[in-house]
Amino acid sequence: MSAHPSLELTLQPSPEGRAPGAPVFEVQDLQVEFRTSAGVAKAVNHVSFSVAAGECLAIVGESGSGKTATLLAALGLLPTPPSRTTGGKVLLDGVDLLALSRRGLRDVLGRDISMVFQDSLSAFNPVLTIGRQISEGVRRHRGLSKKAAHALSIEMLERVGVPDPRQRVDQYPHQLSGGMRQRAMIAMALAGEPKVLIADEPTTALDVTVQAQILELVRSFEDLSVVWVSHDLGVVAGLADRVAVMYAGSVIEQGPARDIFHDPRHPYTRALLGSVPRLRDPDRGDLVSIPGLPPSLVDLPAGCPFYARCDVRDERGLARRPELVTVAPRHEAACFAAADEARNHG
Amino acid sequence: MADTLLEVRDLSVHFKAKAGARGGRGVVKAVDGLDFTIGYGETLGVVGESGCGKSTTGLAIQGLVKATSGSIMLEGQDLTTLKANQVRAARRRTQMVFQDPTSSLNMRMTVGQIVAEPLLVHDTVPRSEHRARAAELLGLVGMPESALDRYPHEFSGGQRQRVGIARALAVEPDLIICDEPTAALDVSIRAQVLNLFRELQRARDLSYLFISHDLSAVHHISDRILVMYLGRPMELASRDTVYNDPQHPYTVALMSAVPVPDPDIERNREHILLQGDVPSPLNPPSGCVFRTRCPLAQDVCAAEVPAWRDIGTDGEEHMVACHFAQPGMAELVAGQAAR
Amino acid sequence: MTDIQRPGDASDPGSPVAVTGRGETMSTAPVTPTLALKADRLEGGGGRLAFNIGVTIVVIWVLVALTVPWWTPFDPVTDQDLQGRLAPPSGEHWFGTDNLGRDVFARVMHGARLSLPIALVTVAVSVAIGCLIGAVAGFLGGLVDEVVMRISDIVLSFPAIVLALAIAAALGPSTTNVVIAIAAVTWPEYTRLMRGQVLSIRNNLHVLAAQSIGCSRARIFRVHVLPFGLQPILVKATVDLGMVILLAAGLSFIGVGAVPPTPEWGAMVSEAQSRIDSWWLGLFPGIAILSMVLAFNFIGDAMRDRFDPQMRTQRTRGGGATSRMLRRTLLGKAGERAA
Repeated sequence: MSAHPSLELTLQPSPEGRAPGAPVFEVQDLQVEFRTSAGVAKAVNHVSFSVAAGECLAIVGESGSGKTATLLAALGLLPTPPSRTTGGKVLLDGVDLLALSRRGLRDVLGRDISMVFQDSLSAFNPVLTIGRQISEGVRRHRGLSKKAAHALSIEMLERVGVPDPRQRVDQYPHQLSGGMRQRAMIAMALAGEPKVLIADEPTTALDVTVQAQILELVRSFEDLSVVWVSHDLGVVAGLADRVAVMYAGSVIEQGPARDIFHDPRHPYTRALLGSVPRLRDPDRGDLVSIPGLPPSLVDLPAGCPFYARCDVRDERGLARRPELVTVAPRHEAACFAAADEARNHG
Repeated sequence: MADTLLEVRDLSVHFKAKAGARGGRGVVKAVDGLDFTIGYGETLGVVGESGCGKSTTGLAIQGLVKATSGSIMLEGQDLTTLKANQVRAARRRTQMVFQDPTSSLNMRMTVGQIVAEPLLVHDTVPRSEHRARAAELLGLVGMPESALDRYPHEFSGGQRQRVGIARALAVEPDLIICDEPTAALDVSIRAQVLNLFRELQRARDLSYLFISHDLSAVHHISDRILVMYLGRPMELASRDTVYNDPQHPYTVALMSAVPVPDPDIERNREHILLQGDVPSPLNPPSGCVFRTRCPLAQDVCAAEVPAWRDIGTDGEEHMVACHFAQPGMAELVAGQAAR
Repeated sequence: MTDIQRPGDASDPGSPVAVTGRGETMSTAPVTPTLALKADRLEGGGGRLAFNIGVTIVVIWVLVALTVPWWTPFDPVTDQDLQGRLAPPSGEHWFGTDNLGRDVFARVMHGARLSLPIALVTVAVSVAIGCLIGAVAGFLGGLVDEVVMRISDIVLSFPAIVLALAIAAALGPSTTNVVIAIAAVTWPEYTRLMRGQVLSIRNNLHVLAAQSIGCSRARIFRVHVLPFGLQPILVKATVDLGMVILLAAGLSFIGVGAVPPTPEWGAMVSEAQSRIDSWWLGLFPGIAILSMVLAFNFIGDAMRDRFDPQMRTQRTRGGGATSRMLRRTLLGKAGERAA
């Protein structure tokens, strides 16, 4: 059913997701701070998540929720200063990336784990050809000859559905359309045959019909573990096996995609889902809107970060920060009310 | 539409393209042969992908870009034939809300000055009353009076967009042209702003031209929807018809491409994928501009520009520009695309 | 007055965000750095130290210039002591005496009364002329722009000192003519800067928004364009104060500037060159020039550091991927916004 001739693989993963295996990529208790003129911003607070082989984890959150900072910090890509990773572990196949030397980290990036970004134009070097940039990584990581790397570049471009890969490989980034550039970036990321792909809103800047193509492409890589950051719940619904929802630098809920969408337990997740207009809604009542604004990361409240905007709050949230607790199988939420409810029913 | 506020007929906006590094010289037909009407208190949604001319349409109605040909009639007055001094006065009847509330507000003016500026420019209200009027407008969009003396940078994106909306309301326009008003906002803030638009409409009988690439938002807020592609109209019908019975293959593909925030639906439905990207507007395809990506394209599509015709039944308007427009288009396209 | 219910976010509008590390708020800054935000961004130790040193030196010189007649025991011109001429620094004459027995300390201190006003007046004239011409050229464009820019090209194609020398020589040596000569060679730089500013500001969304509400061209220019161009002008003017002092001293040194016996630093250094063994004659006015030029450069550089990086991040699309990532992370909205 794929409209993509160049794709060998197309599949629709079952909504249950693939069977959970041992985690390939695991972030444990990550903490990141930024020095700003207003004070120290706690951008990432005790964030933990993991991805199993072939699994897709989506990290959902609004701007400033710390989703991008988490990933950049995990890969050591945040410039220090002003950022500082103050704690936590990032395990890739059991190796702690944060403990690696700069050189060791460079060996891992692009080979075992790659990243694609939202803005494909600035992620490429404008004065080098696409082929040269794809080759660079594989020559370094896989020791390929110039010629072999060039051939591989063409193969990769073909694989991700760039038309005329033989010509495109020698073109410069600006000569490609946005959708093609995003494909080329994915080709570059996958050329080193990584186990884990980190994607930071790679379709946000694209038109919907092109976004649909890219999503189809990503779905076709079955064995790849993907961490997909997005604010678009529709995209997440189509892609993710599991979803982690971030708010004010913390994961406030995570679980299987189906549970998160159909049975959200955290009031923020519920409100977020209710705030999205849906094409299929026949009637159109008012959308759910969350009153107020997220707290300042410089001045986080001692209690629940969502307290001020919450519709099920009680005095516990004012005093204490709720921990992530299991509210259903493989489903955790950081909310006192949700924990109560789970206890009463379970 | 018995009571027509705005009637756009055969509107074209062409730009001379500069000879650039890519060697393109010629005419960009940003908008080409556009027809639609907006009734009193009605919302017309305009959707399409980048380069489809939806923003240019809004700018042309507001008189910010010059129409190459065609007419824009606001209550029977043709805006395209106005003299320069009349244009500014006509801008009072229509106002705009822009995509980026951060850059569309003058950061050196206080919120009060920003909101009162249209009053100052059009001199509709004595100066002594500007402040009170600005406070009233802020109240209308859910901002406190204390915002009057603050600067835009002190507010969040959603609040700034409220200021932009208050400014648009200042001179009591009949039509507000919303150019991607929620594109720069977070999901939950977007919901607030969409709700506000609808509340204001109910209270003041406003008409909206709601331009967006966000199909879900447009579908939520619009009464009728116009689908554009490469400067040309593809389909125009009520929101339900566009969703339930689209008769243009592009509309079908566009609707299919919008991800549904529900894993059960999203993973099990058939996705209709178009090939490639939108062609360059400098060098659009002959005949039907959509034919290069259309799964139904035939020879006739390259040869003839499809007419913009009404295929509506029961007196309901349903305009479409496709040689093969027919009921059940969604299934037809899905079948073709799967082949 | 507000018959509309607030859209379910009573607390939203009530709480303007303080300028904190929260992404959204900071993202407003790069667009147009406002004076209100300036203090907030005063960061970085080195720049701040240099700034403080610069300001201290300038303040001291200004105080000296204002008060010197009341506390120096010697008049810089009339108190001649031919017996004690060319005396080295001593308790009585701190900086020694010159070939007419005048107190060098008094002359150097009085020099500030000349150099500072010359610099201020010259830069003011140059800024006024340059900005006006540049802003008009940028705003109107077309033939006006073309003519103005070619004239400024011609002026800029000469080395400043050579052209100023020629003009000053033609006009005859006097302090007024120094001002005229230097202003005549420095205005095109402001013209270019201002024109560039106006050209880029003209494309800002807030200018389009101003057009859309019906502002006249004059108002748009005055309220929505001009104020945004002034910041870099201010920075350049500060640095130029130092440069003008140097230039004025240079002209006097060559002999086309201030005429003896005026206590002008450049002229004093010039006189000193024939009496190399009396080192104090040239050293002290030289240090005076140096301190002033350095001080203005410190201040200007600090200001530039504060304003410029933001402008750069805003204007250029490129930049390293990492810096963009960081920016996206830090600024949140600005980076995450859909293109």
